[in-house]
Amino acid sequence: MLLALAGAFVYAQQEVVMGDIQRIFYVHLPLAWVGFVAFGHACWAGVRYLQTGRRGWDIASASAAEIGVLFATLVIVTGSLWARPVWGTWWTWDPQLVTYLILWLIYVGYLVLRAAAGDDPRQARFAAVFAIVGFVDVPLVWLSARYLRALSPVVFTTHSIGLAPSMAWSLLGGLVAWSLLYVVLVRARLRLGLLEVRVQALADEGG
Amino acid sequence: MTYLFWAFAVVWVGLFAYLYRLVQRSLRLEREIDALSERSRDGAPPSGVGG
Repeated sequence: MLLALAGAFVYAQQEVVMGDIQRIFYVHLPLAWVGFVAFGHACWAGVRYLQTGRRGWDIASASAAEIGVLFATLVIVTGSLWARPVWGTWWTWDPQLVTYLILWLIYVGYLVLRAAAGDDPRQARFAAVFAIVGFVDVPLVWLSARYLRALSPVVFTTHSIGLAPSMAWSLLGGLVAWSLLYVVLVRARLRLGLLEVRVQALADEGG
Repeated sequence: MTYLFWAFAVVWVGLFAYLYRLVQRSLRLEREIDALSERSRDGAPPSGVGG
């Protein structure tokens, strides 16, 4: 993570048009990427829960969605702080921003549903379906940036990465660091969730 | 530079707030486990645990 920060602030060259404000990109894009991975993870765990009915998958789905919502919230806030000096506004109803906001709302809704479900398997199944359906919005966010005249710059194309080498390496450092942090966080959150279920079961067993 | 500072500050504050929440949950769980083992040592059923 320190290397990623050094890459963002020291190694990456200054962008000509936006100046230093563009350095938000080195945390904004990795957070968005890891957020998508987290929602994909929540969707996959939801599918496995529906297939097996095992509580562990339900907890894995909730853990991934929780971290996904955290990262997506940070994406929206950092995006806003980037947009203000560059576009002159905190928020605009751009297709990519709207589809991303919908994605955020879907998974916030999922977490509310999941929290209300408790031990009820029927509600947990409903929450799993919600996590799966919610993931459909991820490709819409991705596609809206490319095909719907979105304001956000398209960095990765099929032909090249539209960045100078120092910028590309700094971005790669950020992607690796935040992906590793996601793995650490989701493992810790999953372990905690599983332990909570075991302790609750022991407590219920005793009356 | 102000926007850049706040963007990175918000990310780290958000991350640490989440970690703090996880630590709090884990401490609560530890207390529940302690209460359960205490009750099982005393031979009493571990009721009333789990908040």
